[in-house]
Amino acid sequence: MVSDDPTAVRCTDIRRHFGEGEARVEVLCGVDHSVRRGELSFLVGPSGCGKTTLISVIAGLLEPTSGAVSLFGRNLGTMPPDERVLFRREHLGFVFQQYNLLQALTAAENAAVPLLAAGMRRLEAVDRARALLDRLGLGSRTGAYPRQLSGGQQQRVALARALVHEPRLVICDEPTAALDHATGEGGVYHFADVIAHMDDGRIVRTEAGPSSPVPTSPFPSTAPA
Amino acid sequence: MRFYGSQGVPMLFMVTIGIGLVVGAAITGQTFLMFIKENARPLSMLKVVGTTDRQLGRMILLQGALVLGLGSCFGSAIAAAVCDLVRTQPFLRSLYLPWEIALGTCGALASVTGLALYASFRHVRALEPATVFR
Repeated sequence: MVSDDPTAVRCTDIRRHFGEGEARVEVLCGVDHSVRRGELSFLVGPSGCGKTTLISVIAGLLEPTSGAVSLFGRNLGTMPPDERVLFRREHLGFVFQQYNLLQALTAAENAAVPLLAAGMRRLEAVDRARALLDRLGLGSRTGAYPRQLSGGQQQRVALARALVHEPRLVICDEPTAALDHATGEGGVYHFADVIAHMDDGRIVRTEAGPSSPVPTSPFPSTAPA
Repeated sequence: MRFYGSQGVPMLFMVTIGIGLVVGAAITGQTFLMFIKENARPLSMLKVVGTTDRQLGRMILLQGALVLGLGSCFGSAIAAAVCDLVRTQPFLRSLYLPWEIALGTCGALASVTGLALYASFRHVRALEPATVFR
């Protein structure tokens, strides 16, 4: 059961470290961030600034050392692990940087994985995945295996897998990595409603998307407000 | 029978079977674990999109059942064929494959596969889903 809270994601003072003693690395140092429903939010920052760790925490894949994450009004920290898996399956979709398609399955079967995991009958799930792939322009390639698809086609299959179960939140890891610099930073960011800049495990600046200047590297490393 | 007993043949035979079981268990376990390690990323992806540990366990169990079924069938068939081939040889006439032995072998194989599956399942459970992002 999810609430009618207009906030889809709310992170409150998220901290996360890896390792202990001298090997201890603070990856997230008190992140406060929220994403409203229907909002396209970009998390940008230099490599190693904690973006992937933060999205892993938001998705309930990693436990924060401290702080709280709530999705659609549900606190992930208080959910039992099994319930968290079911919540993720029902409400979240993922697009990975490396697509992570299963090589032994066809494009349609790959796209149908979340439905199959949810217990839908195979034929029905694959039919639904086929229809979505058709909308994404891959109607003629639904029976192809990942190795028979180009990088762009594989990316669309990965996108179909993220959307096929109509999730309420889609989390994309480096969605512009496959695009050239001009298209990635100059084009895609203009669709963003919000751009949050991360550095050193903190969100250092948040700005409105379309009207803001395109982020450049290196990112500012000012202290959080 | 007393001849075989005084030669220590049964003991040697049992030792050979024991060594075979240990080696078989090691190879089977290693093969299953290798499979899990090599497929850590796809398995993590499945965990991320909401596949439960129970579902992954069933997949591993199915894989184990296939390996066990195929292994048992091929092994028993080869053993039976060898027994059949050597039946005409005077010295090996007494070599045959009683069903008890075939069943016992299947049981031993099932135990070895079960242990390997248990180790694999523990490995899958411990797999961090977030590794898929790395």
